[in-house]
Amino acid sequence: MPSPGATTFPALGTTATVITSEIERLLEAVSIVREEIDAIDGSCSRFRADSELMRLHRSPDRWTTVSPTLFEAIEVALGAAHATDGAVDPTVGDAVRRIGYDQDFGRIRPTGPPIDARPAPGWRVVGLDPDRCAIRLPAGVFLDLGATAKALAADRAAARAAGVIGGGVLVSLGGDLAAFGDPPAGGWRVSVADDHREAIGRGEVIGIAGGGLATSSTTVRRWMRGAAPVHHVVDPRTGRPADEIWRTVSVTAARCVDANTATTAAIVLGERAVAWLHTLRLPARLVRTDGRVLRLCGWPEAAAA
Amino acid sequence: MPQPTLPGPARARHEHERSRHRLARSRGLRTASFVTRVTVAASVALTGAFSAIAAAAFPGHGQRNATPPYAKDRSPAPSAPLVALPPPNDGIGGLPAPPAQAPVPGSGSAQVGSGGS
Repeated sequence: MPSPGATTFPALGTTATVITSEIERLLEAVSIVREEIDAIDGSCSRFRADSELMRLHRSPDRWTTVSPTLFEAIEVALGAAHATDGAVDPTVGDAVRRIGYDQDFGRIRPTGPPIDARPAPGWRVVGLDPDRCAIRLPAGVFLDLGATAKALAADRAAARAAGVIGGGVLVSLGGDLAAFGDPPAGGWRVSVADDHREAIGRGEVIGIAGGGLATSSTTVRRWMRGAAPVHHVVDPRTGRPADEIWRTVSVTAARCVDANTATTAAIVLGERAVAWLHTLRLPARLVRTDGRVLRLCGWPEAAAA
Repeated sequence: MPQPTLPGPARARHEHERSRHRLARSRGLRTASFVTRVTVAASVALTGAFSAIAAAAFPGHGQRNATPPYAKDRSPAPSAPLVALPPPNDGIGGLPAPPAQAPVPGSGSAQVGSGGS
């Protein structure tokens, strides 16, 4: 039986992990994954002045031809907004800045004035022209692709790497993971917890055969504005951090983009998330703020790590 | 009571007068009909002409700015999407789809962690 290979490195302001079913193919897979991460970062980052997304922001009210990568990322983000009826909306860029998340999380000020919140303008204002690979943003509309772009990068990287090396590949970007190709016996073993950095050894372990698994949590990336604690999952309808009904939501789905869309939407939807996830038949694990766990649609009772 | 009868010459004059009146009325009706047709035709022509002038002077919204089927609120027409997104369950852009295989309880130590980041 071939032995798997794994490596971890910094990427996208978090950590990337690549696992291959055969250790001999690990370096080739990592090279492909890095290419995909660099492509997404150069296209979609709102923290890099030279990113394509920031250049798009500097050209409002006109059609701008963009790279296929940025076009796909925006198309996927709008698809997530469409699928969640706006609970996950890429036009929260201005709202996210207003709550103080205006640069890489490690650099933002831990305290600040009370939030001057404004609702997101709504994803329907974004113009999309596939024939010209062009995007049009009205003045004052800023995109935050964070809810979907990282997951898209994981999907693209794992699918491409698995196709090239011909074996199983799992790619995790900050705990949002995608797996393609033949899985190891018993599936890819994933530990789920509030914080991906502490998951191994402390979370619940499940096995997945492939597809995507994502976790969103309000317990990480927290800071203060005024006298109130703030987290990074914004409700587009208010422009404020979503009410904390669930502190952590994990979902498995056909793709990492699907899983991450569902976890973000569940945080925003609060109690309504249970019926929504049931309707979509998505295996999910939801943790209330007091620690009680709700498992839906076949999410297994997992052994301790 | 029997009707009085006119003598011959008087009756001839009477018939002549009646005939002249009928002819005059027919001419009047034809004239009125002609004037009506001309007026209607002129009105239609002028309406078309003024419409064309007004359309050229104040151009309205074209198809490019039309509201797409799903852009029904808060949507400034000039920036509305030009294409419909893929339908549900038709790949990325549709509703999130469940995995091909449900997750199973894990055995052994985890290879990777998933959590907030």
